[in-house]
Order: sequence, then C-alpha cells, then structure tokens
Amino acid sequence: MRKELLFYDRVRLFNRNFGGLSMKIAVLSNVNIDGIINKLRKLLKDAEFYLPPFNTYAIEMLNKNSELYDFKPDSIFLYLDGYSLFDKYINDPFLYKDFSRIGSMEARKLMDIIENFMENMPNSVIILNTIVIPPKNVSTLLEFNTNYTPTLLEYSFNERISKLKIEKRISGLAICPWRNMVLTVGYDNIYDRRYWYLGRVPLNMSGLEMLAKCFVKTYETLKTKPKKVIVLDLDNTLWGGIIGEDGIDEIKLGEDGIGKAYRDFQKLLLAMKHRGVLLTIASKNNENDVKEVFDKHPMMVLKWNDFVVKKINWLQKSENIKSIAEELNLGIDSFVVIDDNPFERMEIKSAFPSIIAPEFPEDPAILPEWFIGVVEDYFSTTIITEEDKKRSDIYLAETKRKTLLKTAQSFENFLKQLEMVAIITINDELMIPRQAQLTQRTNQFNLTTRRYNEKDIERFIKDDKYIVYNLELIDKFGSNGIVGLIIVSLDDKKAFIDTFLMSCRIIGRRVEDAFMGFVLRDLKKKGIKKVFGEYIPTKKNKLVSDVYEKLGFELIETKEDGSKLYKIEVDENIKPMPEWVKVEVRKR
Amino acid sequence: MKRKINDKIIKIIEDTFNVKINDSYEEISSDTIEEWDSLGQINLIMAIEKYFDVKFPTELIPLMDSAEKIQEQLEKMGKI
Repeated sequence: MRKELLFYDRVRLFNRNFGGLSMKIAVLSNVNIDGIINKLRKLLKDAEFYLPPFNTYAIEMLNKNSELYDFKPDSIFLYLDGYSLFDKYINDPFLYKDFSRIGSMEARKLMDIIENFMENMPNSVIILNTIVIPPKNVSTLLEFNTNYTPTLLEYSFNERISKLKIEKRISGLAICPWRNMVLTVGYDNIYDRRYWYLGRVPLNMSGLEMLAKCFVKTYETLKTKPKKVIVLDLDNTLWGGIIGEDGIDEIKLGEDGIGKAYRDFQKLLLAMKHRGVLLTIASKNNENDVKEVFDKHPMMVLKWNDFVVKKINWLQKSENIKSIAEELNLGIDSFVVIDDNPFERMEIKSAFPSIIAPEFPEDPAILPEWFIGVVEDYFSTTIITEEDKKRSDIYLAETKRKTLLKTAQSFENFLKQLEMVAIITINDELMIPRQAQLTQRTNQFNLTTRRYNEKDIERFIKDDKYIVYNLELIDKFGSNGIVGLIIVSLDDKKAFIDTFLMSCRIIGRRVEDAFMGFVLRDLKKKGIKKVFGEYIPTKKNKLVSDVYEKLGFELIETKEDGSKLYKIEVDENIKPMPEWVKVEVRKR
Repeated sequence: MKRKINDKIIKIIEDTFNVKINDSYEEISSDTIEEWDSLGQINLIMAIEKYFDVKFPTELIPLMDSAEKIQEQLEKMGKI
C-alpha cells in the first residue's frame, strides 16, 4: 500500500470527535487487532483508546517511559494470539517434546511482565484472554497418541496463567473466557488466514466483534456488583404444573421426561446457593401444599432450609418481595425474580422498577441453559471468598436470631442467650481474601477506613512488625462468619492500631469489647506497654467516633480534620473481659 | 458524471473510518480519506465481506482501494 499512518496519527484519529471521555483503555496485542477499536467504541461509549503498534506490548508494559505509561490506562485489554505466540512449535512440533513445559514457561514470562506493570500502576486493571491455538496442525493424529502434541501449549499456558494469578493474588488481573467463546462459535468461523497474510490480522469482523464483547463483558463485571438474591416462584418454575390443582403425584419433577429439566434447574439453583447467592420464595399458594412437596416429593433437589426467606401466601408478590428485602436487610436492586407468569413479573416491576425479572422461557427444556444466561448477565463476578460460600447459612441463622430478639425480655438477656463464642486466629493466611474484602467493604464500624488488597494483607502477615487478628463469631444458631479484623503495627514496646473494623452484621452485639480486650492482653503478653488507637472520621463511620473511649482508651490528641488519637497503658487500664462472649484462640 | 455509489458501501466506509460522506457521487478512496491506510483497507474489506456475505480472493483485497472498485467487484460477484 502507498500509505502508512504513523502510529501517533492513528491514536489521534481514533479519539477524534469523542469529547468528555471518562475511561482510558489501552488495547495491546502480539498481533494486529486494530479493527477492534470500532467495535469497542460501540460498546463503551465514553472510553478513550490507546493502541500501540502490534507486538510491542512487553516493551510498553515494562518501560516506564513508554506511551502506555503516559496514557495512564484505567484498563488494559491484552489479546494474546496463541498461534503467533507459539508458531515455531506448532509448525514443526517434531523438534520439541515437552509442550506442557513450553506453555508454562511462556505463561510465567508473561506473568512477570504483568506483575511488574501492576507494581508500577497498581490502579490499572488488566484483562487477558485465555489463548486458542489452531485446532489443526501438522502433527495430526500424532497429537495425544504421542508426545508431539502442540495442543498442550494451549492447555498449559492457560492453566499456568490461572494458577499464577491465584497464587500471587493478582487481583488486578482478570481472565476473559476467549477459548470457550471460540469453542461455542467454531474456530474456522472467526479466524481467517487471508487477513493474517495481508496484515497480521488473525480474526475476521465477527471474530473482532466477539473479542470486543469478551473484553467488555469482563470489564463491566469488574465494575458492577453482582446481584445477591434470587426470588423464586414455585408452580411451573421449580416444577411443572400447579401443586394446588395437580397435587403432589402429578407435578412434573423427576429423572424422566421433562421433569428432569426442572430437576436440573433446581440443581443449578442449589449451586448458586453454594456460591453465596441467597435463595428465597415468593409464591401464591397454600403453605401446606408446598410444605408437602418439600417434605415428601423424592425428586426435590432443593430443601426447605435452602431458602433463607419463604413467603407463601395470597398477598401481592410485590408486598412479599418488600418484606423479603426488609427481613434480609438488602436492597431490592440486588434482587432477581424468576417467575413464569408475565402478569406477576409486571406487577413486581411496576412496584420496583429497579428489580430484575427476566422473561421466562416457554419451553422448560431450555430452562437450565436459560438460567446459565441469567447467571452470566446478573451474577458474574471474578472473586469468591470462603465467606461468600457460607452466606446462605449465615443469613438463615440471622433470621432465627431476630426471632430470639423478639422473645427475649431484654437486650442483655438476648446477648446471654445467644451463647456467643469469638474465635480468634492470628496471622491467618487462609483468611486473606476475606480480610481484604472486609477492608474494602466495611464503612460503618471502621476506625481508620484503610482499604487493602490481598497482597497488602499478605505483607502484614509475613512482616514481624505487624500482627493481624481475625475474628469469627459463632453462636447457638451457627457462625456469623468472619466479622472482625484488627491490624497492629509494633515498634519496640509500643503498638499502633492500624485497622480496627467489624462487619455491620454484628454491630450492636458488643463483641468489640471481647475482641479488643483479647488483643490488648495478647500485646501485653508480647511485652507491649502502650497501645495507640486512631479514629479517622468519614461520612459513614460516625457510629464509632467514641468506641475507643468506651473501650477504656484515653484521648491524647484531636487533629484539625477531626481525627483523634488515643492511648492505653496495657498494664493498668484494661477492662475485664465481657461475660456474654467466650473467647477462643485457634492456631492455624 | 461519476457513478452513484451504493448506500450500504458508503455507510460501511463511514462506520469503519468514523467519517461523514456527504455526496455519494464524489471520489471516495484511500486518497481522499485520511484514515484509509493499509490497515484501514483490511478493516474496511472485513466489514464489506461480513455485510455482503462474500469472501474476496486474498490478492484482490489490497486492490479495492476506492468505493467504486469495491462496488465493481461486488457487482461482478453478483452481490449488488
């Protein structure tokens, strides 16, 4: 061709006519995917893009003086083309043997680059694809029958990237499921050799469109909170037929015929419970009819206690949903309603415009597949903690606690009847993800509101100058989960409380007395004489402005910005441990 | 007078290069549109292929560097 734009012209032209851009996205690759910008622009209307010449991604990410660093991306979409990455092995596999090792090594090299970049630009998010190599290569049937199996490059590369991301706690890296998307549409439908030979462009237009979607969907998942609650209808939703009319023997639910679609759907719902989504019921029925199904139908996958709240009556659905939200203390904007009846969905939506109530499939055979689509649209996330997985049980216990509170004569009585046990672990590496999550999410009972990621917490745990105290609260209804965190830094005979927070779930139960009481005693044992605490006011933490006073600390300084510094001499002033909480220390 | 160019072709050129073409009789080519360089050529032909559901032989792709040439080729293949 006669004309070749300089690369900075290209950048300028890309961004022309787009004012008021709020996010910056860099697209990096080892091949030419310049046509993706047009597609991305349609999906991300207010983004500014940067796209360096192809195959410069490593230099751009490693060199702090690169245009990429100047651009300061909020996010990097990094597309790695499997063929380009491994072409010499794919084209003559007979010179090599251990393709798994080659794939792993390449992944490690890439992760070094990513980690290095993350250290320099900790606020950027990188989205990387799972790679694909051409499904046909010269090894043909020797693949998997012998060691000459270049396909292992793809497997081992993807596997190693994933493992390193998890091991090294690189929370700023998200993997998008490109390989699975390619499997869904077929490699030959989107990879096109003609463009490859003309301009090192591996994908055709449909392929670029799909790649843009893959990146954007992952990007948006990172920016949005997943929904938390599923509200389920029963008749023609959890089973086929109407229990009040057909009776327990006639509803469709089982291993044969269409009844299996409902059973499979129930299995997926149970999986969502295991992931930490709360299941609830809002159904117009007689509760006795429904109880009979749960008690006696042998093919029910979901059990009565898998649902944290059940509203089975003849009230309007919107009424019931409102009380579910109140009982769970969760916003209706975190609800997804699954109901086969369009009139009910309309009634709910007109009461709560922000609620999600997707159209229900006509044919129950596609119910499981349809539901996976719903999960993809509303429940996608790239993070899950052990705590999330227990959430359903925690909420179920919480509803029982509320009942006890109503019947106990006094609050003191309620606290005693709860039989609370505070389980404290020290420098507990297993809890790192949850602890990071707590610092990110806790606003009310949070004295300093310092936000940490997993890497930060890991550093504290490994550093002798810090101690990380973890609190799990158990009572007679079960665990409340990991609900408290104290991070202390040590300096000879002095200790400084860097972070002190408690989950809003247990605010008011006065567990902080026991938690801090334990920490002070533990520090004393370690030879500490003075402990300093700090309250930094924010819009949301007024609740704890006098917590240190209540715990027996002495105010020593109030700064101009309203933050306060406290001190306690651990020899004299420690309050006795409260009687309503038992404290247990567990070693990991 | 020049030939009138098919509306769809114009629309695709506009979308690909993020430009506005006011007159479907004017000269529309890599010489008159700044963004239409060698990579732009590939992006444009990709979009044309997708819309008209054709596959051009590889050696033709770089040669179709004006709206008129693209139109001629599509006519030859019976697509418009």
